[in-house]
Amino acid sequence: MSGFLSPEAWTVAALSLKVSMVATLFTVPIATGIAYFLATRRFPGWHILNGLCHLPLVMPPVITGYLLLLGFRPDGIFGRVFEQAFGIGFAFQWTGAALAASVMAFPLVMRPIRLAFESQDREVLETAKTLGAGRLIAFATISLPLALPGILAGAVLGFAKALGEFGATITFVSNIPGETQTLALAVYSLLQSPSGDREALTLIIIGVAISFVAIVLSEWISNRISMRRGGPDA
Amino acid sequence: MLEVKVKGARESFAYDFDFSADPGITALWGKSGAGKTTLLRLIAGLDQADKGVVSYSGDTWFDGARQINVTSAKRRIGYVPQRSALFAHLTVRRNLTYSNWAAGRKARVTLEEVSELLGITRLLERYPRNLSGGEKQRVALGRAMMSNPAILLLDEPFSGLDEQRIDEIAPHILALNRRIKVPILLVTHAVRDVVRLADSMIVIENGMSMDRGSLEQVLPRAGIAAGVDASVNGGLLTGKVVGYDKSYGLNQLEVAGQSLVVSGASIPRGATVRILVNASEVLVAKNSKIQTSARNHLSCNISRIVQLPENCVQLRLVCGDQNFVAKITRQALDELSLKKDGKCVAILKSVSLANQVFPR
Repeated sequence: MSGFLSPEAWTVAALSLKVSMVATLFTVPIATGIAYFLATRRFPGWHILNGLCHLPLVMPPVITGYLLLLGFRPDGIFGRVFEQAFGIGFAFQWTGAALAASVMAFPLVMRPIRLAFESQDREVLETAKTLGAGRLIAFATISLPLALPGILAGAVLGFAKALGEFGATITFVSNIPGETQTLALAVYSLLQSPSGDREALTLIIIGVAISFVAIVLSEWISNRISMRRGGPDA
Repeated sequence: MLEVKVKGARESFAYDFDFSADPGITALWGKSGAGKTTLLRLIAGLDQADKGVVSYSGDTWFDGARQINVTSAKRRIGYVPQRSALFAHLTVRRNLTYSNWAAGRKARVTLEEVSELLGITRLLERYPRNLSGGEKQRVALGRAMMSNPAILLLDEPFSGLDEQRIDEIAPHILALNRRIKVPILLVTHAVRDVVRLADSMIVIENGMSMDRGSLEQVLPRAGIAAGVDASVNGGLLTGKVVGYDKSYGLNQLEVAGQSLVVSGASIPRGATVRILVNASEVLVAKNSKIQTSARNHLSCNISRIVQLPENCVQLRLVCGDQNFVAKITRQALDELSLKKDGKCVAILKSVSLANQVFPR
């Protein structure tokens, strides 16, 4: 094993995968809920909520990272709540890296899901209701499964964003090897040192490989869903 | 019995419907934009009226004054929207049984019965994407039936389908109504759909329910009232198939005690058929002494003469207990000196009736 990858490279790769996967797993359900809410309701604060959701996409990542630091450091408003309620800390820990990745990925995950819900035929949902399905049942049996390709697309985008997240992470949880040093941060550090090029190249290949596997896997799943539903659009 | 008495306005469209529908198939007929779909959505509980009452045999579904509005999920209606709205991620089988597994409703009919009745048994494992338009409509009908509805609401069930597909679906709808005894409310703009299916009809115009009654009563007068060109609508005749002339391909019918022959494929002997008459294809003669290629001469009485624009007149012709309409020029009326309560002979071509015969 250690013939190709150094123990340090393994640590970085494993941490990156862990952070990206946890971030994706947490972001997708929350983004799905908010996307459904935004897609099916029109209320006075709609544009504000939608704007807030998109903020991490347009704000400089350093600012997002700094705001996270303010809110989630041990004496921050949210930091204290999480510490007391769940015993979870964020500052300079991998959980913080996952949080930063989640927040940065959120708009990318939410948008395709919202579009998937918005493009659903209203008549189909209404028909489900006339067949006796209440709001919750109709969501679980019709809206959600029909939005699955959109949710998958959002998850892949989110995973990619989490894997490559740099600015917010380094600002929020710094660049600590073995704790918060993800792939992007490690590559950056290695490129700073005169002898790090070879090691950096290894990490870059790992990054490309993970991204490639993720996109191929998602295409495969999406294809399976479409085949199950009777083949590609005629 | 369904009773509807609702008022309201949506955007620039105001409506005021007031009618009741008996068991059997009731057609809500009117031009597009007349408010037919709005009415159906109000009955289904998908939209809410400003005021009024919707009730079905004692159950109040909506009462503006008492602030009652039962949700669609609890109204027990089988709603079949215009574009069938099948669930794309579910097989035909799962679509059909949706109200059972998703809402816990128990159907009075089994999946097997419904699939056989609608001719979709071999489609059960397919996905909606691989169905034709006609098949989709039948699955949507079956899905509505399986939800054990008190009433079926069909919104333009034949829109976008060709005559062949319509011929394929119509008997299934009739069968549903007769065998499973579900009242059906049918929204359509096409006279042909009404004649194919309905027992009675209600004319919808500008957001209001106007004329209503049996087809025999309403159709002849609706042609003009609804602003529909009377030439497409001469009312209908009801007949019985008494035989088939194989060598000439003619169905022999008995209509009001007189005989009538119609071109086309053989219809089973004894079947009741409706014949939709095209008012401007009816020739009117003083007597039947003339020889023509037309096969049918019906002796009639003229019960009414109505002036139409552009020097035309509409003759209401009574033939036994049935009546229909002919549209002729005013000049013909004068030359033949046709008078109200006078006798005449209506001449109908077998060929022009060929596509106007609908088995009941």
